[in-house]
Amino acid sequence: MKKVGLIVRKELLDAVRDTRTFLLVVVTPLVLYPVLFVTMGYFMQTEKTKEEKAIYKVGIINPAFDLSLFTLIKKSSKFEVITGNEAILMFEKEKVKAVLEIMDSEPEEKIVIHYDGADKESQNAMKRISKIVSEYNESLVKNRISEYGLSTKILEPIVIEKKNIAPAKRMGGFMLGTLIPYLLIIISFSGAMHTALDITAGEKERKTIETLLVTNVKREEIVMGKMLSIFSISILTTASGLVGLVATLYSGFSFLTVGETFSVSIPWFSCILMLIVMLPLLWFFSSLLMTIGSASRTMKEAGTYGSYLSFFVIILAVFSVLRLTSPGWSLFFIPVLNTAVLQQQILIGEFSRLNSIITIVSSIIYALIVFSIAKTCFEKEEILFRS
Amino acid sequence: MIETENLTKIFRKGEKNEVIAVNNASFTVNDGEVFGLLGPNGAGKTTTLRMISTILRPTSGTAIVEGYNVTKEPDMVRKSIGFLTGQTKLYDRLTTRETLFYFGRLYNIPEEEIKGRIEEIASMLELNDALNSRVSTLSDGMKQKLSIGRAIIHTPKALVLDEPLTGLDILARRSVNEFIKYSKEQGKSVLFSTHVMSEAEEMCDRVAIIYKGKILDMGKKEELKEKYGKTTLEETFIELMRREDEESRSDS
Repeated sequence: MKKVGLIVRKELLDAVRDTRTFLLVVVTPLVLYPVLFVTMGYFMQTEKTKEEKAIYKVGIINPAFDLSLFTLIKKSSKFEVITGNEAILMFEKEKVKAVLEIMDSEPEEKIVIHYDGADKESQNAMKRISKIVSEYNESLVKNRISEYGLSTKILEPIVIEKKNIAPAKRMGGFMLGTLIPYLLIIISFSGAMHTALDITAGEKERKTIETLLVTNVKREEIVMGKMLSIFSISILTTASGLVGLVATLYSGFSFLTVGETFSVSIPWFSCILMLIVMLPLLWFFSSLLMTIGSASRTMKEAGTYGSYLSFFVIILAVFSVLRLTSPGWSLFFIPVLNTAVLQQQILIGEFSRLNSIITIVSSIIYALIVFSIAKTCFEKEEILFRS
Repeated sequence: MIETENLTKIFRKGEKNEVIAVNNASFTVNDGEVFGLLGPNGAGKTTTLRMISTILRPTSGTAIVEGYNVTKEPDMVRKSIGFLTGQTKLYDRLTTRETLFYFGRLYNIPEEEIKGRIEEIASMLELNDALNSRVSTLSDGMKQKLSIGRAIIHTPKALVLDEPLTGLDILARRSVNEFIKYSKEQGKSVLFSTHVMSEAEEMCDRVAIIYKGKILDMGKKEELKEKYGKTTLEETFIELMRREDEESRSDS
């Protein structure tokens, strides 16, 4: 074990001095992601405000067919209204964002809203006009019913009121659960990948592996030392990722929380639990990456395999973003996805003991299986010295 | 002392495709002797040295290093040898001192002892000024000196040198040459592989000529030259290869 410790110490020292590792393990999760999320949040908030304040230029064709509706739109402070005869011409020449065409067709009046589906502002203008027309339509119906001496209540025999009983904390957990576990898994995997491939395939490419193999160290000690180094780096990346994400949330500017009326936060206890359930998955990732690195001849080859692997990891993790309905216990046998779903449940504050046990035990079993493959790869000279 | 007997390595790619990299190689490297394994690229030199240093497992045959069998006691063999190759293969991000310390500790040298050993090696190889510099900043010559230091940090009894002069500039070559002479004087067995005949001419006491995995002949340089009626080792080497090729053609 003394030599395993020596190898771990050396690999970590090497990793700390490697600028790329530093960027992936510290800068990306702690600085880059928070800056990215805050910037996204800032732009989303700005866009929202801009949309609320914007005054859209809209055209109306045949206003005389319904002067009340025309007046209603003209009086609105949200529009600059012009009249015309041809919708397309008004879009091209007058640069309107939407055109309301009132058709005089009997027995009902028909309205056409022209808009440009490829223009966000045009879509927004269409939505605003639609809302005004719907309200106007509703008031017309109510007036007609009143004219017949009936109560307007007959329009709504059943009144639906939706009440969200979820407390703010639970709602916040639900909302964060959509993206945080996914992001955390991706951050951890990418952080571990560089170190794993560098100390396996990279060492083969630089031929330092022979220098190590001729020393008085057993191969299983080398494998264990390298594995523990990758595992430590992946833990560090996950912790930095978590700190970065939490810090972004507390900043109040994250895109994850834009437009929410309640504050969104993650209790520290949940953070620790999330980190604990990640450990078997991180060991699994470390073993997978070590297998790839040991079996590859060069960093380039290992990088290609690593990219394929990260594609599968992303696919599995992305299922969690879809928020599966009542995930059954069998789902917790699926690697990567099980950890993401369990973390979602931790964030809401409701996770079953059975699901947690299945996730942790199955991930440990997968990790041990892949670790034994990694060990074999490292011990088999046909694989280690493949040319 | 290094002894090999019928050392063979066969690389198999699939069931039918096999390559005999080393075929029944038998030779002995005595204490205080520099023994050269000469052959062109792909002759089986590196594979032979890798089997002796336990990186590769022999398909058949044996190699005994300082009394330890490479298959049965690989740990003891590794402890007894210093392995050095031509291309400098060190960790760029470690300093000279850290490199020597790391490898020393891997050879179980106690921490208190290793510090003294580092000083000793640094003085011997003139590495004192570079002790705190990272390997990546060292010149090729300094890197090679450090590689030598790394290979002898545990005071091995035998040295296995795989084309140690390849790609080195004149200063670095000089360091390696001096190191080999010094090791010989210290009574170590030095096994040296090269494809450059002038290196063998200069350094080796005895040589073995290896071609297509087979040792064609071995002996003292002068004896071999006389045996084949040639004036240089290079001519002897070419003559032996020519004879082997002719024999192969007539066999087939």
